Amino acid sequence: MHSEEYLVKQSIQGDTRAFDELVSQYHNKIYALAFRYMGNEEDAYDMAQEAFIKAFRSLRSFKGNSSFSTWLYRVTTNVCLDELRRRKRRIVALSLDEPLATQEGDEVEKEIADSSPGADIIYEQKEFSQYIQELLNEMKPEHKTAIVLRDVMEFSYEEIAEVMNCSMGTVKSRISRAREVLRKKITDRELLP
Amino acid sequence: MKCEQIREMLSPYIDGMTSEKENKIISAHLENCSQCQSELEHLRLLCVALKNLPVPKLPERFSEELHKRLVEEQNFVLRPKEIKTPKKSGWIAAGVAGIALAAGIYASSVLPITPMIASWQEKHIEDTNNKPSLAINEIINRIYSGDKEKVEEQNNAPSQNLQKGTQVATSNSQKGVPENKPDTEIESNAETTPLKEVSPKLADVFSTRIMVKNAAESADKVVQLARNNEWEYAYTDVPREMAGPNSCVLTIKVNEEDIDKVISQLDEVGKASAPLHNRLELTQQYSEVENQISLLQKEKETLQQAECTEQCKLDEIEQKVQVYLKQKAALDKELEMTTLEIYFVGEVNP
Repeated sequence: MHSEEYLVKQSIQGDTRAFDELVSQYHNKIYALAFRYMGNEEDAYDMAQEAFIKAFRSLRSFKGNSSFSTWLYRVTTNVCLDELRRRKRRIVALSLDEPLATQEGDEVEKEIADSSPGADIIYEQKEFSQYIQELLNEMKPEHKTAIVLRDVMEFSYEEIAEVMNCSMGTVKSRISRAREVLRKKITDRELLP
Repeated sequence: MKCEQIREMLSPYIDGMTSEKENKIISAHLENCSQCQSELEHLRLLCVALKNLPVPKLPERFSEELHKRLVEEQNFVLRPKEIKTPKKSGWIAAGVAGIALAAGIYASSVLPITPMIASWQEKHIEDTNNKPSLAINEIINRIYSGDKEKVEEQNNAPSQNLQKGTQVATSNSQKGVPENKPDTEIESNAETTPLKEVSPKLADVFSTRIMVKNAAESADKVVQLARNNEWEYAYTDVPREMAGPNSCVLTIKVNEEDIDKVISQLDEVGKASAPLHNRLELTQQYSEVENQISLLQKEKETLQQAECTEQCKLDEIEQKVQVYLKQKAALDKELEMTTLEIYFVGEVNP
């Protein structure tokens, strides 16, 4: 087993075998992350592949200021969000957590007729997970990134700030906002006791 | 503190990201506010639910597929830098020679080629074996002279020295000016020392043309084919005005007996024309390289006999010898293998 530092160094030299080792250490986490962003297996698979290819291509730009894993998560996040943005340009979708501005200038929450399962089948864990994933899919990219990195990937606030390239204060408010949106949506549907 | 303010802090509170002072305020508030308590509980449940979201199993083919793509990616990245460049001197000459041959035939039917050959012969090395390739060399040199970048690499590529030397000679002869000393330090000796006689060195070059829809895409397919068969391949730089907007030239090195097999495999891409057999004259380059080596070795011997020779001077000569030996090896390989040039001619939209 080689050290991560050695593997990164070798990979920079173009050693694909060394990079394979790095891949095997992270592919499950990267796939999980991509799945949360993309919401389906097929897209998650493609984005995880894309993320590793992009990482291999741009390894030279990895300066070692952060850990390799943080850098890799950032690459994955960017790959997924870029793809989502690209798609959004094609399908103008309403975002769950993006307030609508009224004529008076006030912002109001959107009323979205959601396709969530009724309370009677909520006890089914699978349905509940699917519902949460659907809510995640509808979130604004920065809120989704914050909550996925914090609550799904269990990153620290510092790590999230590094991945998202923003301040701790911003991370705090984004996580707060994202959780609040989800909590509200779920309690409104009486999905939480 | 109002409930609203407390609720804003609940998210960082459950992550332990609030200060001690804030923690005290929040705890005190929660003891007396059941609504905020309930909200905190909901947030905690939400976090647990998010943590426990199931992730589908990563398909097993993931690593293998990724590895394959990485290798392709790497080949793509390496292709222009590490595969093409070292072969520039030999490969490009070979590649361009095909076009040059066609252009040469045309030129010879239009231009008074005989006086040009005669004047070139006057001042150049007395090599009697190079008549068939004169037109080719001349045109190759013109093409090279248009590409300063390649000429700048002369110090590392002896054959390009030769080509540049030839070019100088040619242009001077056309102006009727006596030949200047070639601009390489060793070539000045070459003027006084007759070149070593070598037997004719001819490299086999086959050319074929494929009509395709998209030249670059088809060339990529052949590159894939070349990789699968482990043939050496290189893209050949062809001046745009000669090649056209949607066309490219790929050069593959194979054994002569495999030519037909290779051509038949190209059917996947398009119908290849029957290969034209040309010969690339390398006698002159070969003899000059050999000559440089023997001159350097003589110089080295002389220096070794002299008493006060510095070691660094000897090392310098040895380094030069190594460069020429490499060049000779490259020429040997060029002569040993057969070059197949594939001209992809794509459709051009008006």
